[in-house]
Amino acid sequence: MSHRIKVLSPILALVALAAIACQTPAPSAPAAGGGGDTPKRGGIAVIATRDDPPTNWDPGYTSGITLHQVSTGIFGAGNFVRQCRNDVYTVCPYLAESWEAGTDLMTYTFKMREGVFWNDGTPFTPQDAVYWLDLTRGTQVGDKTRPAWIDVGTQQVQKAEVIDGNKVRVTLKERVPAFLDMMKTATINIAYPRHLFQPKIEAGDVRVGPSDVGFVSLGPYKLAKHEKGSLIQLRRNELYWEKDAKGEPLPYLDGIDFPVMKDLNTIVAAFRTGRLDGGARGTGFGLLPEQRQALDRTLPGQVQYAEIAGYRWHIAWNQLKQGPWQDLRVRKALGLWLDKRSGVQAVVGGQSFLHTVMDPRSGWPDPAWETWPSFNANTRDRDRADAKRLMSEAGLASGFEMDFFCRRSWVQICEWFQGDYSGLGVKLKLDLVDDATWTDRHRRGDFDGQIQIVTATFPELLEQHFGRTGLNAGGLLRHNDPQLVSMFRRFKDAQGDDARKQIYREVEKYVLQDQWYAISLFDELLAIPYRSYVKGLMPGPEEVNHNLDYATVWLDK
Amino acid sequence: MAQTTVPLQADVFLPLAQGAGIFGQLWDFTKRKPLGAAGAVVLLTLVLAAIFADVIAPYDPIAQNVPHRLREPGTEYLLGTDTYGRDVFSRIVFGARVSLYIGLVSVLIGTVVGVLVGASSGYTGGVYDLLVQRIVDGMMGFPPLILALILVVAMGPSINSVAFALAVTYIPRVVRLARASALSTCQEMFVDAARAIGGGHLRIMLRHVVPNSLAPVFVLATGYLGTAIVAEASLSFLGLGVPPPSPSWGGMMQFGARGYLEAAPWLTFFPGLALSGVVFAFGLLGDALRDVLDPRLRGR
Repeated sequence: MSHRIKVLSPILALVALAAIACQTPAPSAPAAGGGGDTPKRGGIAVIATRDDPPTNWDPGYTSGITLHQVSTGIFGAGNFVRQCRNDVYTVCPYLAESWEAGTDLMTYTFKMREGVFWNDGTPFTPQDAVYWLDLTRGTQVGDKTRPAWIDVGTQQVQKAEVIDGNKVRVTLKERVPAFLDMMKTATINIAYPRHLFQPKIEAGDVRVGPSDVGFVSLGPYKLAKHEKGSLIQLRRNELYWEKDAKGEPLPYLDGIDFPVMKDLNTIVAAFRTGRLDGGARGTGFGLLPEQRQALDRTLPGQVQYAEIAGYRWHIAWNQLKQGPWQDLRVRKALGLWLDKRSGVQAVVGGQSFLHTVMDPRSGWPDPAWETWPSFNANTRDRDRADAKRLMSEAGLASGFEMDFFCRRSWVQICEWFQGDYSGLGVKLKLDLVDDATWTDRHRRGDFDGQIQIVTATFPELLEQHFGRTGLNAGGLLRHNDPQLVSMFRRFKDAQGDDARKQIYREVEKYVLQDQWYAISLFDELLAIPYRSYVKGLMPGPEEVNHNLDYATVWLDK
Repeated sequence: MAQTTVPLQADVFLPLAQGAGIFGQLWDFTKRKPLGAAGAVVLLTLVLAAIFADVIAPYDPIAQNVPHRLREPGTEYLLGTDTYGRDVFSRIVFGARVSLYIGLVSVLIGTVVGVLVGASSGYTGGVYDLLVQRIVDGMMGFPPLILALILVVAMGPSINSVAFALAVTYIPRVVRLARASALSTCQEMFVDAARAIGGGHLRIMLRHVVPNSLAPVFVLATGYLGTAIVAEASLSFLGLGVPPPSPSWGGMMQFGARGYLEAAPWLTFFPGLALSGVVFAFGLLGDALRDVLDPRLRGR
């Protein structure tokens, strides 16, 4: 570390800590709708969901759009904190109205909001919040175990306690500068009403879930009906606490009907005939540009699209298996060769953008990334020539063959780069598997090369993809590189966001340009159709689960 | 009860204008069964397309040309292009190879195995027959496509595993038919005569029973060729057929159905047309063959 940085570090740290400790974030619910429209109250929105949620609807043990599309309205869009409605990268208050971080970043004290009720009329208390945090870390009753949650936020917690009557103090196991970023994840919800859960747990039902207690919850809506495979109905929770910028209570809608529609073509047909106000979210359920054009032709001016990024495709080679990709020259050649812009056209019809590991709009990536080899459109021909040269230097001028592991549902993107790589002489044999096989083999590292979606709205989350093998059984990279491991360790000691950004950019460059462990391809934009009269959706630039509570949505008809 | 006997070998294989040459027989067949002949022409075209695909196809079926993606059918690309800019016509022509290969291989394996097992079961009888028939019952309990799907998943998608899986679904049907024919053939005088002169079981079965049980199996096989091609397309449509980038009609249709039905209908329509045309042709030919080979229908 240079002398100058040594001198500046304590000052920067103090400034950062002061900023964290003193922040009083803006209210989380701005006025809904754009263009100065006054929200109208009432009405039932009809929005497709692609499948029934998993059995007990417990966001701690299962995650996926089929759950969150419906359950976020019931459980709410956060916990103590949430992603801001108008900025997915920023932390906003939710059930805590403010917080303070300890100077060591190992304790966080949340001042809990008053006037919050479970939808059965029971007041929500700081004890409820502590109870929830305790349960997320697992519990044991007799010989029965309730396992801990798997999410990155709550697993950092060592102890939670109520202080001063209305505050919750959370003590972490270690210093975690990104704790609030971790907790703001939309899918970490307080979904365990103590007054209903505890009696069941004491009776031995240690795995009790929200569905076992009638979905008593804190979100803007209540579950009214669930006809499996057919329809899920939510209706307004009259006890919901949140208000809009004018002080009017949320939600605006009387309710939401979610017809279960498992096929995109069916959704498009139902949308066109006016039976749906909005499509389903989730991979494979976004509209292609050609489908959008067709809809716009038949419903001119009547359709809007939520364009949600965050499906950032990455290719990586298994460094724990022998093969030509162990050679840095080969990895670099593979990285330089792919024509990402051609992939954007071939796979998603141009409805996409290039990126590094994170979304460029998040502010985390190196601003110069577009000039890097393999990203720079102006050096495309030179990159390809370099790729051929590197293959020759590695003794593989005529190419090589390898298996490439791909989910069957991702065949379109895999088929594209399979074709593109043939120009380099690399013959990829696509190993197409179903989701269950993919998960199993992925965890065992039983593959040569793989493609995966990497999503992160803050850099520490990337450890699950880039961290040391053993910690990242479901991650993108398979490696035992101590340097990459140590980079992630430095996040824990980072003093403020600038330091975190610096570390992230080192990781980014190391993985994508120095070692060429992975190839960032492009971010597939998920285009979800909504009727123009559906206002106040505020979908984030990325993160498919953002603002899925529909509290600010209203119908202008 | 009147008993219909299966004709002797010479009759089975020369049901048309006896004594005429091959062209004479073909002409006779065309006159008597014009629809069957039309089916044969379509299938002949398919075979020629499969054999001479390299000559017929104007483009490499797997080479991507993204700037030309989703071109409509026209003079440059007869049947348009897909999202990778690949020529749909070339892919259909090369897809014929896959369809024909899978159809023929599955039917060949199914027929050989099914006839041997079925004929031996019918000829031998007893515990062996009982055992074989119960196994066949079990196999027929599975819907064929589901059984094929399970086998392909177990073996991993490849052109050979698809062919094998379809052969397995076909075998029990051939066994049943071959056994029934064998049971009937075993009652014939020439089988008794063969026994009387000291012919061994294997010789009697292979030289007399099997050849005389083949006629109905041929008809079944002709019909099953079309079924096998459809089944391959179904597996490919489900993503379990021939892996990419090899073109297969089912895979092409599945690709088109993935959001392009309205914007680029040619991606689905033309492979579907090829598939339905070939299946229809197999149906026509199969019906005609049944008519000329089945002694009860001959002359109608």
